[in-house]
Amino acid sequence: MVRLLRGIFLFFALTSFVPAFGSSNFTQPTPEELKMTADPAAPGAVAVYLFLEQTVDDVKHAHTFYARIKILTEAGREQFSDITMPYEDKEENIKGVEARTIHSDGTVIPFTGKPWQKEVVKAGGVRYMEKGFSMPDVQVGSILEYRYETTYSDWWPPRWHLQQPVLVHRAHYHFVPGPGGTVAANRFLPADAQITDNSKGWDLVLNNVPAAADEDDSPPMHALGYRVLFYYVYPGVDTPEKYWEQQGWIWSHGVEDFSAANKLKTVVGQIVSPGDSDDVKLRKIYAAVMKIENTSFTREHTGTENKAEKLKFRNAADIWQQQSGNDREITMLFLGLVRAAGFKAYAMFVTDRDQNVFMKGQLDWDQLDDEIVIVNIGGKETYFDPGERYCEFGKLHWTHTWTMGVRQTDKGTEIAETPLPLYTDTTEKRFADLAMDADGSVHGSIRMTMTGATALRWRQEALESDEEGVKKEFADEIQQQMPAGVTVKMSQFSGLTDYTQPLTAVLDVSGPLGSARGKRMFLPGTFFEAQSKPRFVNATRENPVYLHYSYAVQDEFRLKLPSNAAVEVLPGDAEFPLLPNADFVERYKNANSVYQYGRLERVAGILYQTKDYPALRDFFQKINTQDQAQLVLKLTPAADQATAAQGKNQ
Amino acid sequence: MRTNHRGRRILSLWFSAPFRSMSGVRAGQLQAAALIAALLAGCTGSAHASKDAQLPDWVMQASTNTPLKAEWHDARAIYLLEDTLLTVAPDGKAVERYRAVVKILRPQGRNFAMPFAAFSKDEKLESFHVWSIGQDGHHYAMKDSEYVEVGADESGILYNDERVKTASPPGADPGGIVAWESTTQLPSWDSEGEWSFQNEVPTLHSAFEIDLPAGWHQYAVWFRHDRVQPAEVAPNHFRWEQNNIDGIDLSDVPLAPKWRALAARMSVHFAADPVPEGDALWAKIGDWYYQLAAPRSEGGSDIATEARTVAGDGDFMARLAKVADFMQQQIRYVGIEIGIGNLQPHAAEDVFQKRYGDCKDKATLMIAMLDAVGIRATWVAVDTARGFVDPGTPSIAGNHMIMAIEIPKGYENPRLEAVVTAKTGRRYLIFDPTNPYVPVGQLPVYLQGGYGLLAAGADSQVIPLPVLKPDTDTIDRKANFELAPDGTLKGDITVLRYGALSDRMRGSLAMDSDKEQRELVERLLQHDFSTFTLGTEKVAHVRELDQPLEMDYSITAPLYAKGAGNLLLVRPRVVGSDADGLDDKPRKVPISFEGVGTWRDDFDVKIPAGYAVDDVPDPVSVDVGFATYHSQVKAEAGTLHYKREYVLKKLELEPGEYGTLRKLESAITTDENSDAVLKKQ
Repeated sequence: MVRLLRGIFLFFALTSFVPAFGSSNFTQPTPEELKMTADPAAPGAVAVYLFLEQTVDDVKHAHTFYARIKILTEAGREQFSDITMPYEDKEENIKGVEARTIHSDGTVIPFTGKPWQKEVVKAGGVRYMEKGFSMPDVQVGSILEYRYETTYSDWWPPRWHLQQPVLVHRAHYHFVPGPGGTVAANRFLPADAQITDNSKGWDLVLNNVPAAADEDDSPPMHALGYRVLFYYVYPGVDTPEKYWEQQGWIWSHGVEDFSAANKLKTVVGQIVSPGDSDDVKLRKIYAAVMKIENTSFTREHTGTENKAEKLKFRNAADIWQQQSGNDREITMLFLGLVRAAGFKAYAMFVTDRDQNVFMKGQLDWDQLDDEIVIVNIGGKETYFDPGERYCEFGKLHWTHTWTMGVRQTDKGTEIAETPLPLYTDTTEKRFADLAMDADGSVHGSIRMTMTGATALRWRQEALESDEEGVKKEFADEIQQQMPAGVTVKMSQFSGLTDYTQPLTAVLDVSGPLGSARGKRMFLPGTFFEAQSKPRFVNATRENPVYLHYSYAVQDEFRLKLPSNAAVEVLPGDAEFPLLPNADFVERYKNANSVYQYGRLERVAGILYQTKDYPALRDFFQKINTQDQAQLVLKLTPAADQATAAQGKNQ
Repeated sequence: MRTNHRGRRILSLWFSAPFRSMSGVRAGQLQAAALIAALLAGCTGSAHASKDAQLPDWVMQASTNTPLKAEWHDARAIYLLEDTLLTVAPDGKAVERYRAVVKILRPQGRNFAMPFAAFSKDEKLESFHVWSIGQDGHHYAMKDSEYVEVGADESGILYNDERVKTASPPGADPGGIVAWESTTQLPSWDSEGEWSFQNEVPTLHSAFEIDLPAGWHQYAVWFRHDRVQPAEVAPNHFRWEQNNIDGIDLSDVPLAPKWRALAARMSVHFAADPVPEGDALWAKIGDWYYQLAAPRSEGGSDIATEARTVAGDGDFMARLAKVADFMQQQIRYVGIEIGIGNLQPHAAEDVFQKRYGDCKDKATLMIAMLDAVGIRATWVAVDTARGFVDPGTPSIAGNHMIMAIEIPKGYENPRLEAVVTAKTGRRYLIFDPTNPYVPVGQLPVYLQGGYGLLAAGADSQVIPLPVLKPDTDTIDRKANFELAPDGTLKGDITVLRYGALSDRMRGSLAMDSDKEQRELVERLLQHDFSTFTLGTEKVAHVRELDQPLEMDYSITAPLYAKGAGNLLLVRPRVVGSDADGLDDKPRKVPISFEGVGTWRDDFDVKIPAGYAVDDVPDPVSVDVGFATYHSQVKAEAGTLHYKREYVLKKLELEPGEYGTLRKLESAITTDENSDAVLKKQ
């Protein structure tokens, strides 16, 4: 635990303000730097780094950080004027803080105070602290210059994330490894950048490093961008292959010890019957495991509680007996049970796709987040995610799809990839059956069935709140999508705890849908998407688009029209392909005073390069435009209706 | 989530950021701390919290099954007991003992069962204990090593010395009970106890006691609750009690006032001398603050020199405007608060030299600068939750500091809008130097309609903060478009924002890079167009507060008009919305608008050749007293003219007016979404 905390803390330390020191003197700004009011290399930028230096000396146990920042706008002043320096008490120290502000007329305002120091978190004998200060008299046009040093007791190989929120004109990075230490580096550098390794250490000089773009639907940001990640290589573990093999061996033994199939033979005998097919056996075991309280979705119990309840967590058999465990323990239980039932099964430790991108060359076991299980059924491997409560049989949580990690094999372990999610895995079917009154108000119901990631999201939310809470949240979310004036009320919500069936919601609908004007009434052509907005707005894009999962949404809508209305204009059918990644079809129909439409949106691809962005944006914009189409009804005047009715009566 | 001994939390929040939350510690940070605590507890196992522990009698007593009100059936949690004892020593130092017993009823209720005690350099935490009862009946007592300390991390505050002790108790599941007790030494200057007996969830039983030295006096004031007489349970030891108090849950309530402006509370003032009442008590509190802050406004000669240079030789308003501009542009907002620094400003000289400070620091430097140019000003303590500061509840509680600038007798200037007249007959201009986007003369909307404590020595008093006229805050949208036969709309749009309501947009634009500004406009347009391309885009006068904020841009929106046979449907209200999203639930709390104002649209859409206007939306004209809405579409000379004006005249409405507001909003929504019909000739 402490190791984890420290890892998190170091990550922040490295990515936010990190290292220090270079020379003991500040740099004299050039007249051009002082006069600069905008930077042609970064049009519209709020600030730029004129120079950035980070050095790491594992001989002296010191990281240094030195920066010269030109403030170009008020936003830049707000963003860069307050400096905070995190550290772990007793393990690290911040010292040598020097800072000054230089106005555009050359006036120098030195920082003369003492940095404040505060406790961030103190727990279990570990104390995380923060020092900080505010740069004096910062104005738009000022150059901020500061440095500090972090000292520590052990070796601390740097992880240089080279792109900052703003352009860096020039940067120097330097690393001196600890005595006798062998170092390797994982590098993602601009084409013209070279990292040198000589007797004085590693050096990297960069010019004009572009700012890191922060955009929605991007891959994990720290897995993008230029970076150099150092690590020490230990004797006998000098290649990635050896590293993953050795670490995999250790992990795999842990898996074997905990899952302990030999202790689960009696249990599995109680779950399955001898005559069951392999498929039935697996489903029964999976169902039994899914019933166990998964404390990762409720509350992890304390040691005291476990003792009070006489709970033990030595192996999977304990988890079964207690019918309670966390996601990892339940995954191991499933592994042990399927093995005890005679299946060939393997554990796999994967990187969560929303957190990181696995890199074989980065020798860091902490890249891996969660465990899943692979079962060989009749020669075919199927992936299971029993740690994700209510995940459907044979499916993975989306964060565990199309990612990499370390898996067990018959011969040991190897690096492997999980399957790509299919659009058929996550489906949403929405059916509305409504009738309209003469005044334009509608009543009826909508029925929605969900599978895959959508259903799992609601099921797991219900674990963290409760059924009533999730019903309300669901109804509120649907209400947001309804045409203005239409109200929904939850009628039924079934399947919240039954992952073998689609999650089903039935909602009652009422309220005005159409607005009558003169001889016509106008209605939204599509019901479920009447309030939707285009998914991608910005015309330009710097990062790839990385969607969570593939999906298919299918709508069917029926509206019985009142006797005083007839369809005058039907929206036009539409078909938008974005092959091979997505497609969209919508068809409209009017027959026997019933307006109907069917709509199908399927998105299979989840990663789109920047060059593909315009087509992707265009696809979603076309869909949205189509969704805003109007249905025009022609109204029969009341007098005409009366005449017609009279005629009928006669 | 709410803190435990809220009284202390409110006091400690005085005078910091204008937009901050109630608690000094972010909920996320607390949750992270709780997670850490839970993990640590898991790691340390049975070495720590002891099971089947002996629980204090008050915990056991409170945990005894008591029938709950039927309407609380869906509550997430319930405070079975809150009990505060304030013990005042003869030297005036006070110690507060706070006890809480919370029963978790639903999983979401765990957030209310998070033991919590705030402390700082001047507020020493003497003890903190946590107990719990699992749903299976097990008793637990947590140990010191299981608690977690978290430093306060408030938006806008770079540093303060406040910390929180918290824990993640065993058994904190639905059906479980969590209890905690903290004892805190109050700051020596504190002479007010706060009893916030209303929570977000129901409270079964709440009590507050004050134990005073012989001869001391107390006086209690009440907010949103009738006065309750205490029982004198021992000589000069008073006890108030409340039972069956409903919670106030504002989640999903549209246009809700701020929570702390609704929750009932009591403030009890104590002193060796008789405590004055009403206006005299306000005067006492204001004078105390004035004496604390006034020495900090004594500026040196460098401040005076700078002030004279900045102000120049103009009249009162001209000099004031220039000093205000200096404060808003040159002094950065940075909060560094230690001990009484939560209340007392830094010296004006320090703020001037470093060019940064928090709200009370900025007010103090500005008071010093104005003094140097012959303008008198003083502090006004306020709260950004309109309604929290209440004339009937004299108290030091609040969260922001602004200033009152004395207007010379007989001086008039149309720019002086946020003016109040004190009981002394003096006229003051109320100004918030912390907000860099509302010009001097006006007042940010979050302060309008509230009250503030004018700290003016013996003349201190509570004053109403003005509500500016609706035509002061105006948004004018004008546009000229041309519609092509294929439905493509092209045109230029100009949006002018006048007044205090423009501060948020100014602030957002000021903090954006050029690229971000463009993306902001694109996001705004997303509400009005499915497909569009933003052409030119220009923003002007973001920091020129004497000018309207101007945004000019051009758009091309393919398929804007929907083809339907030989018809083209076109929405004349092309951009911008004045509608608020409301629900149809019974309204229990007042309706609170961000600000009064006037919104005007004036759009022309030239229709394509070969088309004629077949039908236009009906005009809309609604007058509901607190607001008017007029809209009409005209077709003239091949052009659709859309014009509307929405005027909101009141800041707050009674719950009973919700139905009227819904009708108004329905009319606006219908109007905004109505199409004109063009027919091919």
